[in-house]
Amino acid sequence: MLRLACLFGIAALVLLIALFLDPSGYTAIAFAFVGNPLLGVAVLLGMLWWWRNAREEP
Amino acid sequence: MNESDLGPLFELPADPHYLWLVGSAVAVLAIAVLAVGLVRGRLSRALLLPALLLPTAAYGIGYLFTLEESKQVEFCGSCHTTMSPLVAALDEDTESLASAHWQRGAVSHVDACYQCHSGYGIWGDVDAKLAGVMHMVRTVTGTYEFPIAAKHFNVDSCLGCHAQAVGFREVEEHLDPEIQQELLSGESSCAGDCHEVAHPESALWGIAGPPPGGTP
Repeated sequence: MLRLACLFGIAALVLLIALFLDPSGYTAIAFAFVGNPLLGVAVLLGMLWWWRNAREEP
Repeated sequence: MNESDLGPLFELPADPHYLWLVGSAVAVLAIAVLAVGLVRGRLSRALLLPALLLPTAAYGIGYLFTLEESKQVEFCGSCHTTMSPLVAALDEDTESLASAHWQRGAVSHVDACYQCHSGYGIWGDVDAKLAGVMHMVRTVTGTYEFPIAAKHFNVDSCLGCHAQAVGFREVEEHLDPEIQQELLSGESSCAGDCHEVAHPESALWGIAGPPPGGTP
């Protein structure tokens, strides 16, 4: 689960770097409509992983 | 004459902002932390907080960067299908209000589109940003129609510069209470109704141009 979260997070950040390097309508659309949901899912998965780990630890 | 042949006096003053550099550095750092998690399948306690904060901070900087960068004329023109003919028409002597302002230097060549289409004051900025989000939604969903038309043009954009100008105040029509009321209520517009059209008709049809047989 953490691996998936990290993968989504990295993909979102790659889109962000593309926006920084080439600010245009298309990179802004990718940032807003693809990057944001990816980051949101990554954060949720990461928190879920942390929560499950915290419950299992004595 | 090529612009670069004119000399340094004719270049726009440099106004660099380093938001992209800071944002890229934070993003690269975030990728490094997430790569550790991706390879190992777990993250130590020391890396948990950075793994959460760095990507969100990078995205926060990304938002600020987008808010600032989306004011640029090049940014507007980057939507090739719809907007690029409008930006290209600024350099042509089309006698439209936009090209007249552009060629006289009455609007900044950096953010001319934003200057005229954002209204006046902070709420003008908010309206323009919301409109920008809707532009992106319409581009993604393909729910836009030609000819491109501004649903509502805020006359405050014109008045922000012209209201205090001596020449503007001397025009008889501008002093007419009825005309003033019509303009302020949005019933009529400066462009098209009294002055030249805002943009040439041919540029409103995107890169495909007007339909054969003329505009309906």
